[in-house]
Amino acid sequence: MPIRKLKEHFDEINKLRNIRALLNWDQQIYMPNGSNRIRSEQIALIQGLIHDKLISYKTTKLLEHSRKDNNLDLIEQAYLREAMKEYEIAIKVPNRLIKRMAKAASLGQQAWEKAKNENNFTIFQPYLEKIVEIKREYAKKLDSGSTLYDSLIDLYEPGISSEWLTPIFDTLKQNIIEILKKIKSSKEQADKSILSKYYDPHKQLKFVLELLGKLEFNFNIGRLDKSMHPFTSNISSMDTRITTSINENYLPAGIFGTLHEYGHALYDMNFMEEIRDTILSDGASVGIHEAQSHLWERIGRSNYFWNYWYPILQKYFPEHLAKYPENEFYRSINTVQSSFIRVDADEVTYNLHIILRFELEKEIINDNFPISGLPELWNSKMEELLGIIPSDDCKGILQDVHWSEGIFGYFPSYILGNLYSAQIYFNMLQKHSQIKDEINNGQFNNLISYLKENIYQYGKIYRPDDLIKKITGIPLNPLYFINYLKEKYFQIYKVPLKS
Amino acid sequence: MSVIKELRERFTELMRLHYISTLMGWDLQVNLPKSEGTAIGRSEQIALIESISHKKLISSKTGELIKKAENEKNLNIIDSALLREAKRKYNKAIKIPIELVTEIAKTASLGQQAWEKARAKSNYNIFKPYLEKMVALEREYAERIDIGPTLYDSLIDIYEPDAKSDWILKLFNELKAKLVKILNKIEAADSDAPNQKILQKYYDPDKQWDLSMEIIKKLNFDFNRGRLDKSVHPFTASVSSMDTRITTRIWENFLPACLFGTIHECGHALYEMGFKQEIHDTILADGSSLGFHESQSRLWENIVGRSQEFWSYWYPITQKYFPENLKDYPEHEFYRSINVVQPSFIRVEADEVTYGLHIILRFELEKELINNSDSLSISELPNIWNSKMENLLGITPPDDAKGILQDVHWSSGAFGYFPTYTMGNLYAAQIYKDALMKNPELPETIRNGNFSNLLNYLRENIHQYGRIYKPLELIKKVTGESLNPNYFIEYLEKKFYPVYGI
Repeated sequence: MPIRKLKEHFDEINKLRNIRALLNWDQQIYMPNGSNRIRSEQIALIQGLIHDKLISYKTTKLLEHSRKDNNLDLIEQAYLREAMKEYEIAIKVPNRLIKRMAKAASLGQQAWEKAKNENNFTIFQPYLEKIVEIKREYAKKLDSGSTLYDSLIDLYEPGISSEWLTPIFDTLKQNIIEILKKIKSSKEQADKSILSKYYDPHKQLKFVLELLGKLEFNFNIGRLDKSMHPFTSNISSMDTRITTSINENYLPAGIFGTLHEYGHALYDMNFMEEIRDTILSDGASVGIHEAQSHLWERIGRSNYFWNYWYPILQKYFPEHLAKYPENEFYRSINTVQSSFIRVDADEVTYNLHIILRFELEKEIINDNFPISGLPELWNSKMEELLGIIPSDDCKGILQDVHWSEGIFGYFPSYILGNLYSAQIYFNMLQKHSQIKDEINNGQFNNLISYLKENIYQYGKIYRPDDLIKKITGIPLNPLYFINYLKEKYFQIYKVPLKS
Repeated sequence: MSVIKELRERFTELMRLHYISTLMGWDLQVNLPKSEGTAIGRSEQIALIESISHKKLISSKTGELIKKAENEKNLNIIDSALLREAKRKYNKAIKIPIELVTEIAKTASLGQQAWEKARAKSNYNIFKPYLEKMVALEREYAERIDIGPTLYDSLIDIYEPDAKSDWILKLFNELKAKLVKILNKIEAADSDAPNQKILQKYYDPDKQWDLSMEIIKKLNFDFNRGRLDKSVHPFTASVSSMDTRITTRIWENFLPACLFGTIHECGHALYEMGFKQEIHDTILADGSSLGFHESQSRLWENIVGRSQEFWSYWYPITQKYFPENLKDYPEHEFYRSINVVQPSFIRVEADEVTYGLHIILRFELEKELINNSDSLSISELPNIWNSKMENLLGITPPDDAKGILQDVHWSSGAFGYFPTYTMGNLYAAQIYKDALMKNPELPETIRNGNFSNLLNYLRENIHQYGRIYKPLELIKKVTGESLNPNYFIEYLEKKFYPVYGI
């Protein structure tokens, strides 16, 4: 059967990707610095092997034959769809362009780091110009959307266009700005100074391990390590590794970072047997993957979660928390505040940071907006959205690594993650209202079962838009997220719901 | 692009794949989560890289490049070594059909499981059928490689190019007589014999780790391009020419395990870290042979690491790590305790004197197994083993776990590997003698905790060249003389007679 052969062929490609993931993981966790250059050559070699396999005559033939098969089941159709997609991308984009992009990105990252260190955007500017030029050409070759930017979004969020995103983001923008205004004018401001005391890193790690144990993170097929930036690596269906970055002077970094990566890992660890170690053993999209990490982080920021965990945390850090009331702790981890840096932003303002980037990326990719004007555009959008102006470019346009790596069209997935997860969570509570109580008592079984059954097991079988409809019965709707924010934060900041 | 450059790049790609597969192996032993499925997944990933690599190696393109390169005139020494090694790899690969490679891999995997079980139950019969099969497969393999003159020679050549079994036999016979003589003298010595009791106390594992770290730093192990980790069996893995990783194991009730295990692997790593830039990432970025590689680990572990000079520097430091055991224990007694000589059953626990006899036993058996398997009954092996033990070491294993079942090698098809351990000792002694002749100040520098002079000598004369020279050429180039076992004997006599008051 051609579809079986196609699957096997792409299983090898998947294995090579797993190997690439190990090379990356090792580079960040273990590899001595001296080997950086050679490691990137090793990764490029694997990358090249993947590319060669994708565009090979064998792929062409197998796809051709599989497409003639009218008796494909649901999973086989998904194999074919994903294989087709990967093949088309590989065929459309010439190797020469990929190499140019890789080189520009590598130089771009160095320049970005330097620009960031010296707080000087002009160092980065010519490199960014080059990257954008190549990226636009790349998008032209892909030609999979009605605009150039759409072709890039499609890489991460299949089937989603900027035309579709724009009204959703506009709704979100209006609502969040309004919510933010109300919070700012409340007299009940939260205080997060308790979180910035010294918390012994060993104890933080122990707490995080206790948490993972209770959440049934399977250490027989996974690991937790420390790294500068937390991430999740899928090295095989039986080997998913997460990392955490513990900050001794800021408690939330370790706890919520771990919960976030745990959410990613739980997804990767629970694909159904049939699709393990295939090209379907991945999230339905970047946004759906992000939804899983957001969902767990969101649970981690809830009062019912801390009802169970706060007394335990107090025992780890009695020096700070013994006398600190639970409700105040809960408020402290949910402080809302306009700030400059995306990754430090709270649940409310975070989305405005993303909308800013989405609007800028659209201009850059579709309208070739002059790069020299970007810092100014950034700052004026910051003022418009968050009411604050960055004092320098480090706190503004230079803060994210993405563009220096040539990644455009990725940012929207972060918001989509929030939206998907709010809608899924709402649906779950509707069907299983007892889950909140269970979390309250430190029980996660039913929650995990729901996620496994409705989302995790399917991996990439369904496209994200089909999956959200399958789970919740309706297409993606930003109101669930807006309602979630209002309900939670108006209560914390004592804003009347109907004001 | 010149032909030789193209050839070099093709094999560099193969080398990169090899490094990647080595990393996967390292990760399997150091990091991998414990589930069985995880290990299976990893072995599939390794198999994929190996099959990609094999296909590249035997492709007609490789053959053409080699043929063209052979017509090139005036190749410099590195390029001709590159061509030689490329040809060697290519010829081996095309001579062996993929079915045989797969069959050996499969039998090795089953054989290792059977061997583990057999060893645990001390029941040779569990392992016997797999050994029989493996011997037959290895014979077929040797027939196809056909380097000769005997089948066993073809297998030795995999590990020690150009070393013929006749020549090894002659070396080993000479060695055997002299080792037995030394052993007899030591056993007959009437002065108070040293013992290992002091080493068998409790030594805090964290402190053992810290001490090992301190030692290898001082030995110039470069942490900017290397790591030390823990694993069940210590090993060295280069995962790029700028990234050499060693592992160690810690036994809380036996100090030497971690200490000398780490120094041993550090010796391997220093070799790998010392290749000249020009051969980085090429197929020449490897030891000249297994024996040569082993000479470097044994030189640091035994000749340096178990010497008086070494401990004259390190003992006061070690005492500070473990005052509870060592504060009042004299340095000289400590030195004697790490140099106890005693016939014992297990090769990996043997001392410098008896170790060679363990190897000679295996060499003699292997040779028969591979060359004359028709006349040698595999059922008889345990008996032959035991009578040889009696003969060489004067002791008889109480069971097969302490006899024929102790080593993993044969279960995985590694016949012809054992002799390289002893070759390593011989190379090391000859090299060290030369180093001392040219740098008489070495013992003094070691006494002062300076290991750079010795390392510089090794770098300059051996390490930098990687696989450019073949082992028998290299030993001659370094010392001006062919391999001569007398240096090793001389070393043993000079060292162990005083330890035993002879």
